[in-house]
Amino acid sequence: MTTTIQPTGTSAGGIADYDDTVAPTATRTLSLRVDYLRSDVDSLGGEVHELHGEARELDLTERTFEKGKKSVATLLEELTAERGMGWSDIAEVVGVSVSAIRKWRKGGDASPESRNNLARIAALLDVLEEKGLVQDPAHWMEMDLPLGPGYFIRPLDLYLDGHVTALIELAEQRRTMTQVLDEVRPDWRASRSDFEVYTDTDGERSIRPRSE
Amino acid sequence: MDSIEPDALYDERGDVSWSRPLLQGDVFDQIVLPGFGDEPRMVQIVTHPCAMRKGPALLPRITVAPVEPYAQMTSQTDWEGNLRVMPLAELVDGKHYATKFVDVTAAPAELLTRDRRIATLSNRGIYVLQQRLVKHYTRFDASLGLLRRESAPVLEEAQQQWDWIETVLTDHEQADQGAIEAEGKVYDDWLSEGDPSRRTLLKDEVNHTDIRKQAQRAAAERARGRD
Repeated sequence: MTTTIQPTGTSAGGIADYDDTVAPTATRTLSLRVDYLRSDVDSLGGEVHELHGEARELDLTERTFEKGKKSVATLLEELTAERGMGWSDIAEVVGVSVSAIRKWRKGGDASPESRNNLARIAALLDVLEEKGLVQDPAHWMEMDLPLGPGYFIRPLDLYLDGHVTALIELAEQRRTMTQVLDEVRPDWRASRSDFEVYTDTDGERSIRPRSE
Repeated sequence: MDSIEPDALYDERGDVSWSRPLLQGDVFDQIVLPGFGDEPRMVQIVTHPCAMRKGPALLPRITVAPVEPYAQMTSQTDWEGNLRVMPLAELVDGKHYATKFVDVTAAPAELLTRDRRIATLSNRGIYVLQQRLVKHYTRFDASLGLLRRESAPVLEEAQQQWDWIETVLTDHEQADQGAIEAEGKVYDDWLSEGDPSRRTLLKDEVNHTDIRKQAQRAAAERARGRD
């Protein structure tokens, strides 16, 4: 009979203190199998993640193409009257002035790039709503993320930075806000303001140091 | 301190929509400022949007600052080293100007007419102007995000009023300052309706998309009723 010496955690920890037969062969085999299995799953997970990203992009591109068949005035009507998106936000998304957008509304010409930008944001709002991710996508896009006092980051800001996939992951709750921001805006924590906006005695908004 | 390129700074230059309410950052030409001689000059409104009006009417005097030719800001160092001015690059005919904060004064509101308005700023442009004004007067750095949050209700209201007027009035009427002011009053009355009023609801971003949709429907209905 072999005497097994169990490590106590208080010995000097010399190799000779540990017997080769501490872990039964079956356990080691199981451990190795699980190691391999996890590696396979991790690898598969990475591929699925990548594939999911590609599928989302393809979906958004197709939807954008379909939306692009509409006139610019119709797209603007959809974004403003149906979705309730603000003119200044639309202008920022398209990269033009509010006045330019207003002229298009009355039938003015938009460049193909601007038309595509309008179609893409309209398509994204559809995706967010159709997948049941967000009830009022235009509203969700313009609200500050609930990161705590002092942070002023909106989903719209992530969209403007080109992080559409990260935005959808956020809406799908596949990753937390901090995980998403750590990836796409690594310095986001440094943007925290020591000040807050509050309603002043005259009923208008003012700024003061945060009380916490 | 943030810098901003001309394309992002301005909403309009030259041919400015009369329907847009007067706002912080608007630039006017041909203004004879009391105490600044007889020479007509350019000025920029520097007062905060919520300090310009009593109800829908402008206050009798509006805080402005003279706009003068100025060197172009070519680097971030320039933007951070010229804190007494608001750079207005390519304001007129590609030439560069700046608003001089040290000469801030009050102009009679009746001088600031729509036909004299030659430029308006984007929302981001307004935040940059606010940031520089705060820095000039207090040496305090305010982030654009903070200023956006602070200004959101009043700028949203201005956008909605602009949209309302363009929806309701004909092109011909949009060149008539009286008609614009009258329709602005109609929007203001509509915003005051309800308990809590729509204006109160507009103070919280949570309600912005809903109020926008309501305003668009009400303006379209009013336009149809005038046909």
